[in-house]
Amino acid sequence: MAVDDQFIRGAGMLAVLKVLERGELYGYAIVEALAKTPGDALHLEQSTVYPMLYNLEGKGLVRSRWDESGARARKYYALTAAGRKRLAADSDQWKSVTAAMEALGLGRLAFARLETACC
Amino acid sequence: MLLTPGATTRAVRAIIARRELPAEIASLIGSVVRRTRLRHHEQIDIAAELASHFAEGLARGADAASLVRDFGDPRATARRLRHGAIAKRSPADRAMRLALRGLGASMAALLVAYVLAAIWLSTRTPTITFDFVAEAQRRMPAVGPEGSAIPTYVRALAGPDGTEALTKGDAEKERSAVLTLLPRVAFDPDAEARVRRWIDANRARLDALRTLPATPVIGVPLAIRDTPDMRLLATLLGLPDASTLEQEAIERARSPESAQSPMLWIILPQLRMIRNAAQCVSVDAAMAARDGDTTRFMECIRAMDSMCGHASEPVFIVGALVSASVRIMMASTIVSAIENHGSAFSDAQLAELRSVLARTDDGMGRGLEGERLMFHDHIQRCYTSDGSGGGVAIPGALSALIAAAGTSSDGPGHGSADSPELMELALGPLMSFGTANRRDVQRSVDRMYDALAAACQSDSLEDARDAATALDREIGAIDRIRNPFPAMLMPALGNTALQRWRLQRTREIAQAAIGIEQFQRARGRFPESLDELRAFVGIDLGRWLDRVSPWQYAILDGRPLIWDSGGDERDDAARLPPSPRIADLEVVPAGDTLRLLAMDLATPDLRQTEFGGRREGLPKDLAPDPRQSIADIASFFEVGELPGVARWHQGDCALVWWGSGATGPSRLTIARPANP
Repeated sequence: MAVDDQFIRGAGMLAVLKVLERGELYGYAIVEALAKTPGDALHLEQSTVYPMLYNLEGKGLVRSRWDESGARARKYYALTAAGRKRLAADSDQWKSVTAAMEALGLGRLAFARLETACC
Repeated sequence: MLLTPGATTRAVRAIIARRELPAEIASLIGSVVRRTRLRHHEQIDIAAELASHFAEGLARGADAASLVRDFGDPRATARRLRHGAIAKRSPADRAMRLALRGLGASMAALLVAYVLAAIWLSTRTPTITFDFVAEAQRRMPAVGPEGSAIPTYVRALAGPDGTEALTKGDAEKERSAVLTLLPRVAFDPDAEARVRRWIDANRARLDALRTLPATPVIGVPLAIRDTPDMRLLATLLGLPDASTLEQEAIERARSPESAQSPMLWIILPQLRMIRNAAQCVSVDAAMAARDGDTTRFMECIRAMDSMCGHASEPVFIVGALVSASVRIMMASTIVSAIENHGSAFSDAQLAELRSVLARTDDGMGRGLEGERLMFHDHIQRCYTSDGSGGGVAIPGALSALIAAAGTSSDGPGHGSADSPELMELALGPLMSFGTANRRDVQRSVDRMYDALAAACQSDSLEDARDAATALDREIGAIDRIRNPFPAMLMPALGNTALQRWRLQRTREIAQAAIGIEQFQRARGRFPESLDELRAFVGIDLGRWLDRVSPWQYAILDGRPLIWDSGGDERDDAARLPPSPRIADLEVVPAGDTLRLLAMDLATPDLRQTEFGGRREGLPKDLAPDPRQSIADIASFFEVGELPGVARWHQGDCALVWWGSGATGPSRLTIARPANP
């Protein structure tokens, strides 16, 4: 089930940081990683991902570089130290929220897909 | 880096082309990037990244249509990309952007306020509380049953074609030449013959002018030319288009919303005519005295006295100045006649001459108050009124006034915008709020006129000169843009005070000359002292002279002499210098040039000769003092023989020399010797 874009956008930044935790990625790979979440819950319009990356870069949470060594030039994004710190803090908050939601009876399954992708 | 128009678009296209992307993708990227409206390098970066994105998708096997579809709405994407790219900019850059946006917003707000103010101002109308033209007309004398004096002037001055014949063209040159010759007539047979020829040629005209006392009022209405008298005058003075000119001036000066009486355009052509006529009559008077025809002389004096009244009828300073000028001319004519031919006059004639000289109403007071009232009229027509003396300038009326500011007392000004209404609307708030408040303008105008009135009461030449200088300096220092009203006052208005001083002094000299003649007749001798003469004359002679050089009196060689030591304060005991000396001249700094003021001993007129010396070329220790002797710099100018002092005639009756009088006709009077 696709999740409403507005609903997912707040979590989207956390998801992108989480995706980049594994290592530096270029834009299309980030979109792909998000799209491969169960139920396509984190599938964002590609037009949403790039502005989000620019915002993260503007906040100093990610950095970018062009790599033109391969067959196709790619712009790679990677977490900065500040990004890692922010990811750790936001992950804790996310866990608290999901725990609270579970306590309200929304059940763990309701957020399983998001948790799988983000945390 | 300077970019040519379209450089960014071309660069984006080049990036897309290098990736060899399908047309729909290339179009999407171009559209998105263009809509971001970001800076050149930012658009290039985004284009490269999007091209990389789509190339990657195609390489992974996706088709172009699905990639385009999954990409999302181009408009929303462009908007997000723009926000994201701006977020990447440096804090200083973002701060600058915010500041520019704030500035833009402020400018827009100001523009709106300006437009609203312009609209508000364009709807303002003045509050007219008094009708200046009617008030000025009320203050002027009314024409009696004898009729206006204008037909007499026309009869005297007009030629066969109806235009002025006596003071135009060759006639003007001839008249000027005669006036120059006149003072030496007694000593120069050729000059006397020329003057007589001129008088004979204009006999009928001069006879007509001598009838002027029969019509004591000229009665020129203000701002109304469409009367038979004024049409006659306009034709006489060669102003066939005068009616048109006036109409244009009125239209220009009219307040748009006020169809009441327009701001006055002062046109007083009769003043020049009166002055010219007075000069002609003074020539006739001088020759009448020479011929012993005192009856004709008295008629001439009465005619000149009438002209003084005619000139001072308009309630403006310029009228009073012309009146004073004619009265000075008249007093000088009397002095010359008494000095040379005093015995020819009867006691009754001498008494009448003193009576004419004693008239003190020169119209200056009325002129000052009338002109002050005119400025108040201008103000009421150019400003709104808040009921307590304040108000803002009304652009339409103000621009009309400024256009009329070039209007002198004898003609209209020039210069107006092609679309004055549009200009007034556009520049209205600037004009209104950049101009002084109504209350401040009114105060400054009043202050100027109060100062002028005080200056006119100066008791000495020094006081008059100081007051005149101070007043002119104050007028000159006024910000003409912020406060155009006082700046419209006549340039060198302070000269009014000097002119009044000259009139009083000349009048007293004439009184003294007549007094000496009368004293000699009554007592068989000349006065022993100035005090004795003063007591006989009954007025305080010499009160209006220089503080530093009061009148002195002596009987030298059997003749009474009155003199002062002049501006140079060197008492020459009323004796002529043995030869013209440059040391007897004064130097008066006037801008960058020096004016050497010299008095021609044979004429009562002050001659001014300009030499090309520049002030910076003077010795450093030479102070710019009007009374500064130039003996120490004579060699600097290498002037040689000076015009105006190169010759004089020591006749048997009149010697004219006041040290180095710097202003006006400074005369030393001497009565006829008891036993020539």
